[in-house]
Amino acid sequence: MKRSFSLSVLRVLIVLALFVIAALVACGGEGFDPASKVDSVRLFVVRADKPYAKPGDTVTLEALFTDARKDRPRAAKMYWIPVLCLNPQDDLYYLCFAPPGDGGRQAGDTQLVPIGAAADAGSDGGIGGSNPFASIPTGIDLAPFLPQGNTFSFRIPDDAVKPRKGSEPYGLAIVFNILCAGRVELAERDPSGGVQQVPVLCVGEDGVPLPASDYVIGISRVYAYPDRVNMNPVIEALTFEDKDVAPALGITIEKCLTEKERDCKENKIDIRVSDASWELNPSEVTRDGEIREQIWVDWYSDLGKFDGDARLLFDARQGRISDSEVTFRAPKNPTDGTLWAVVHDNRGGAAWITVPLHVR
Amino acid sequence: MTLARELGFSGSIGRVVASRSLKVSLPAALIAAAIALSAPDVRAQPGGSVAKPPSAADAPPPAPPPPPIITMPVVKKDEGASYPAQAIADKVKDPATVELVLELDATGLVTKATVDKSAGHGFDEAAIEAAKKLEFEPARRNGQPIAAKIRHKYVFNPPASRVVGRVATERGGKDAPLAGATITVTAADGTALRTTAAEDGSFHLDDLPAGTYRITLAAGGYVEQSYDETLDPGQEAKVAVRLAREVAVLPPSEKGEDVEEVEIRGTRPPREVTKRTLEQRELSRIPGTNGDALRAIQNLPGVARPPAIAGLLIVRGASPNETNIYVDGTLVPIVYHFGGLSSVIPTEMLEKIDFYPGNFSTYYGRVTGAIVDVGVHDPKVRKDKKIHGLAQADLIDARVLAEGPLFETGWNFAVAGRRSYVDLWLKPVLEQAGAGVTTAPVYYDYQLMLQRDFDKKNSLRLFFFGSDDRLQILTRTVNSSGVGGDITLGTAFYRFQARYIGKLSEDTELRVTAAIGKDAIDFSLGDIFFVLSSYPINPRAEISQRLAAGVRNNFGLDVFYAPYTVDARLPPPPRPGQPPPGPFGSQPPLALTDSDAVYRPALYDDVELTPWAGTRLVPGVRLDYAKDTRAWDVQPRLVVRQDLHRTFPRTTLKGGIGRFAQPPQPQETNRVFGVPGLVSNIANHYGAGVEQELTRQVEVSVEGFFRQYDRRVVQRLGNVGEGRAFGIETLLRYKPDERFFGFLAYTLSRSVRKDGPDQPERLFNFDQTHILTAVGSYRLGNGWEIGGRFRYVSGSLNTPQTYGFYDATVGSYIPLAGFPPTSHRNPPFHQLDVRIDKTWQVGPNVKIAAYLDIYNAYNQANIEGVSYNYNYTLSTNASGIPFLPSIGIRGEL
Repeated sequence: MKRSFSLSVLRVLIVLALFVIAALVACGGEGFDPASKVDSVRLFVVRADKPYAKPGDTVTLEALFTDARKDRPRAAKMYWIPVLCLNPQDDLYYLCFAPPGDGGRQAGDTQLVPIGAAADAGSDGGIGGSNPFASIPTGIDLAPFLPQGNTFSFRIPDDAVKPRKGSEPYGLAIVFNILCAGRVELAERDPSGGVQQVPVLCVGEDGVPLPASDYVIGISRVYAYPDRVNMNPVIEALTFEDKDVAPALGITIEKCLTEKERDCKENKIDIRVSDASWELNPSEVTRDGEIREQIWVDWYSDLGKFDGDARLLFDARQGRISDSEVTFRAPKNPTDGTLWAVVHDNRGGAAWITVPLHVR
Repeated sequence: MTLARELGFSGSIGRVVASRSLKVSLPAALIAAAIALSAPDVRAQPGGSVAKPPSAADAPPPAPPPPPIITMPVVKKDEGASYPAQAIADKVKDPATVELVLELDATGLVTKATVDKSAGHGFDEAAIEAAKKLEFEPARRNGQPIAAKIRHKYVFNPPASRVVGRVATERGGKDAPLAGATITVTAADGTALRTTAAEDGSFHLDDLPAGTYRITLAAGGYVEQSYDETLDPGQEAKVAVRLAREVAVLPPSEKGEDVEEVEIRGTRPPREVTKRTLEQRELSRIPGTNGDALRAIQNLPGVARPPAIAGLLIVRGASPNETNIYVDGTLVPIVYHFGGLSSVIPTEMLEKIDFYPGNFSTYYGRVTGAIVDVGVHDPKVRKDKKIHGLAQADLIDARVLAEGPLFETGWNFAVAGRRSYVDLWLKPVLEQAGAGVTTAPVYYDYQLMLQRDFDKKNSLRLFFFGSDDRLQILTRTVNSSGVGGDITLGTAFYRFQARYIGKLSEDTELRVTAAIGKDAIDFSLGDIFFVLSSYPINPRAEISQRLAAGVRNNFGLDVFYAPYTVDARLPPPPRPGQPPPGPFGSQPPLALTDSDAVYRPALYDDVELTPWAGTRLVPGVRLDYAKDTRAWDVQPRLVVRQDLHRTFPRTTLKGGIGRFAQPPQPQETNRVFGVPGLVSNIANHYGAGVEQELTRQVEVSVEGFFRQYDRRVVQRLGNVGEGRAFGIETLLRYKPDERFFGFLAYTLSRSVRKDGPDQPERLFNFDQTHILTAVGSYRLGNGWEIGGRFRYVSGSLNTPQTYGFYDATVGSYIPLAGFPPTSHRNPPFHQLDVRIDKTWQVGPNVKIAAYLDIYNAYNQANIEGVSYNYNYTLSTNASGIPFLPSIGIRGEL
């Protein structure tokens, strides 16, 4: 190992560290709208009631989404693809729908389990590497045949847990959904397009694919462990200028009175997550001690502007971050809107709070 | 004469000196004895007396007859013996003696000659041949010629060697003879012969015994040159030297300029097809490098431009990890602080940097790309025998160096150190950006060297050097790249290197280098981490043996052994083209805790053949073993150089072919992060080119290269990859003189990869079709020097990303990566860098220098990458470093 760890990995780490510094000192945005600005069809999060499930558990997914387009010729709806992709090779989502061979799925790796069958089928419910949509021609609107709504349940197969290299045995179940303001169709596969091609399309009535503002194709991951649990974070309160906000009343804020946006009043908004949410990751006991979850919050609103899209709440080693607030600048005109705060942990847990925003 | 003395005789009957031999006839008494042996009625007795034959009568004995009068044979005609060609070929340097027994007839002719004491190497045959032509005045008994049998000795002295040559200097772009220049030839025992150059600069020194000499050429006001030359018996060594003018003899206005820029190099041809050596002045004065020597390599032909200020070396379409960087033969884990800020060994300690872009010799291995070998000079001892030093500071760091003799011990020392103060200004910047900074980026490096020449043949050097980089930042923001939280990076290494160079004989040199040290890495980002401690031991030895004239064999052993412990929790390494995983990863990290040892021994041998003048062949083979692959890699290599025109203007054709193996990287074959059971990557190198001197200062070289990859390891897939890289590189170089240095380098190349037999061919990530670099630096006088570097390079590649999926579990968009990867090229890069130096001589031994290095002088917004919005529906080009001036100051005494 002439090119030992110290030679090869170190270079990777150094480059990574330089990127960190560059990311920190660089001006962000490059003039783009931030992720926190909501003006289109947006899927914020899909939360599993059991982020770490056990084999045989029934897991319910709940989606938080919105349709913030000004013009809505057809309302966006959430459709669920009723096929469970179980243990794709290397946990790569795109190997769920890539054709076998050609760098895609390999026989015996990925299981595609029709959700209806999964509840009862257990290990027999899989259909191996075959694609259940392979026999469906393109150009057909699948929407009438797909489950709709903001929740979706499925059962973790009994034999979902598999041995892993470098990790405790676990199983990975992936569920796809599509939030679409149009028809849902299968995409025609380009033989030379690589393995990552999107298998479904959201198209208008004329069959033309809709712009990205009109749909989101979501991936939800649920990990299955025999004896490991993970709870979703618990949001204790949303605070505005250090005061708790009543979810039903929301936040009332003065409109921006200055000519320049950067001179608008900065309002501090923060979120309080319980200490108990900062769970111990049982596999992460190192020579330096234990490591816990990393927890952060994503901020969204359909009016005004945050000074950042996300804030770290708990660091895996250093714990609660003392100054995690964001600042929010109101728009210049009185209006009503919505603020979404979505809290994640790095083991698939999530929680959210939605409050109305009143600009006066 | 020893034999004669032992027999109790003295004196001689004659001595004849031939042109190339000395023959000595044996003492008269011995010859008399020999005659007695040959005479039928006379028996010679030991001691030279003659016994009487027995008598049958018992009568009173008659009066004894008078003893016969014996006259010895005397050489009448001798043409001498020629020094045998075989002895010259065998490089026999000591006198040789052959003893013969000659049978002479009564006329004095030699009827038979037999070897009584052999000397081999063709001496016996030469002696017999010469003896057959001898003519003697015959031996006589009582005046009558008789036959005789005598001993005869030939002593062969090696023919003398000579050195002839011419000394010149440059005037007005042409060579001008340096009449009066002193040429000193010093033998290994210190004996020195001197001569001076004639009006036309010519000189000769004759009658030199065969051996190794140091030839020194000096002239007042010119930089002295010295180098070693081994002379075979009868050899005539030709020397043509051009001495550079010392700055100190320039007009008064020029005083104070750096006078140490002239680099003296041996004339031994390289064992590689292409060996590019950057000299001290080039290393420190190339604009845009901040005086950092290792960055200078990035300007040479065949080397692609790295992104921004990264310290990557991308050579002839090879990945950066295919290039190994050595410090005097010892592999070092990093050469740049924080991946590119500055190199870990200060420029002031470097003697040279040898760069082998491909087809390197068997001395190097374990990589399929290129080699950089950084030569650190021994401590400099000036004529005043005092300690000297320097201190330098710029916006990034400050460093000091001191060197000189260590009292009266015979040892010399050098000590140096550096500390960055990036933390002083970066910490407020980071905190302003919202980060909590525990340890702002800071780095150190340190060097300590002890060196002693025990005599002219043996030298020992001990070198301790190391580096330490560290930072700790808490970021409160989280972005889609997965960056956020507590970030810690600590990297450190040190090496203790001992080097011995000894001349075991005039033809045998032993070079031993051994290094031990430690590498340590402590990295964490959020809940992932990597902690490593390893203790590499890297002994290597090479014995270089001159077997015959024009034949030198180099045999070496190169061992790398590194016990290590690693504790890692990292995301799974991505496959080619895999999109980023999203915040904090979408997959459970992989964990590894392990203790093991790396063991990679290697043997190599190559033969430097010069079958005739101007031709050089270097066939060789290297055997590398890797414990992790449990396999030997056999790598035959061949280099050919042919001088079409040996004297100025020299023209040389060159070519090479070879097989190069690189074991898989640890994470590639590791049971957790990679694919166990991998074998080495293989690359076959092919190269051919020509070097042409245009003037004494200007030379041009053109070389084509082709590298074909086989069994290339693809991350998480195994030895399924292929690839090739090919191109033409040219270098037009003006070698440093007292005023100017510069070069124009251009490379046209293409590098492609296949990530599997069923995968399409794609461009290599760092493929750059056109790479043009022009560098020049000119001394204006009064201590001023100004230089510029201009680069025009094809744009870097990127893989377009488009709107794709949304990872609803972690809240991040996942782009669709274009296929095949690296399908889009950014606009061409062009940039001008300018450097201005000013040196003040403020005392006899005190100099102060300052420089201004302007990066991107005309503020070109070069495209280094593409930046996307949060869902990859919009993109914009990301520009590189804008106009960036940097200043530094330095004092020397």
